[in-house]
Amino acid sequence: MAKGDFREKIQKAMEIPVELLSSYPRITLLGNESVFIENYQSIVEYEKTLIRISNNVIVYGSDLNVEEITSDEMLIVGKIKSIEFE
Amino acid sequence: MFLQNTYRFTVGYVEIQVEGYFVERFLNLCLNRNIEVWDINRKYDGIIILKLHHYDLEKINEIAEVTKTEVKILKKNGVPHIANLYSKRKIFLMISILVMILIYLASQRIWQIAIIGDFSFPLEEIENELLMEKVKVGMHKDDLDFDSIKNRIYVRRSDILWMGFEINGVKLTVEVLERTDPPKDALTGKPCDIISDKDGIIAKIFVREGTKLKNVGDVVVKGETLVSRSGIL
Repeated sequence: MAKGDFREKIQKAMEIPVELLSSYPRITLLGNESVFIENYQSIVEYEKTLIRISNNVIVYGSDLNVEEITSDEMLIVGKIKSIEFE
Repeated sequence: MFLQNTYRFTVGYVEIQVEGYFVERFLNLCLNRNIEVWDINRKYDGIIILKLHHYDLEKINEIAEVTKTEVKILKKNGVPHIANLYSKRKIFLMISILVMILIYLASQRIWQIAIIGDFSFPLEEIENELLMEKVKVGMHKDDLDFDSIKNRIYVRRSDILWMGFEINGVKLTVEVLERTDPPKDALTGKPCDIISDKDGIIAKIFVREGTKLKNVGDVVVKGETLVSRSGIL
């Protein structure tokens, strides 16, 4: 049995919200000005025009600045063009 | 947000520039070791600018060694930094604080006393009366109890009808009004008529006791009675 299946079963059995146990990032967008990402694991790539985090999420835009960052959440401010999943 | 910024300012922070190939790794390591960083700015290839608390600087050097990046301090800010700047000018700071305290203390006192009003006795008498009540230049404003000062002066001086006190900043203005009794016959001490001693037109007349014979605008010749004594008990 795969590890993911077991987790899903527990989640369904105990009715735990999905975001608590999964490794999915929770992404909140505010217009095209800021992105708030919870449960990102680490930054893989950081350029002026793109930020790639380890959940295979890429934020594209221009003048991207990380205004606040802690070990599980980050706030990206700038002109956001798109968010992509790989 | 405001509270956080205030905290960061009071504790003090530094702006550093990290240059190297693995700046992402540098950031991840910072977060793994619970180092608070914020305002991360990508300049161009391989350079980021970020802010962190100044007490985390030693840990940063360690991370910089591991990730083979170069750390340069760009700017220091916050209360400890400003205090440090002024530590070379201790005497200047002390004197400026001292001057502020002195100005505050001085503004609590009276530095000028002006006596105004229409009265016939010399000014020195009022000054002496005030001095007896310990009202003098340099006294504290809180020590002034106008009601009791007035009452004691009224008791001592029957020729003062009214006194007004007013404080404007460090200036005390005392207004004095003299009591003027109705004219009395020099010999008997009884009330008498008021007779005009020159020709003219009445501009203003106010009678408290007696009978008013002339009104405003009346033409008066020398010797005419203005106010009659009839009606005074």
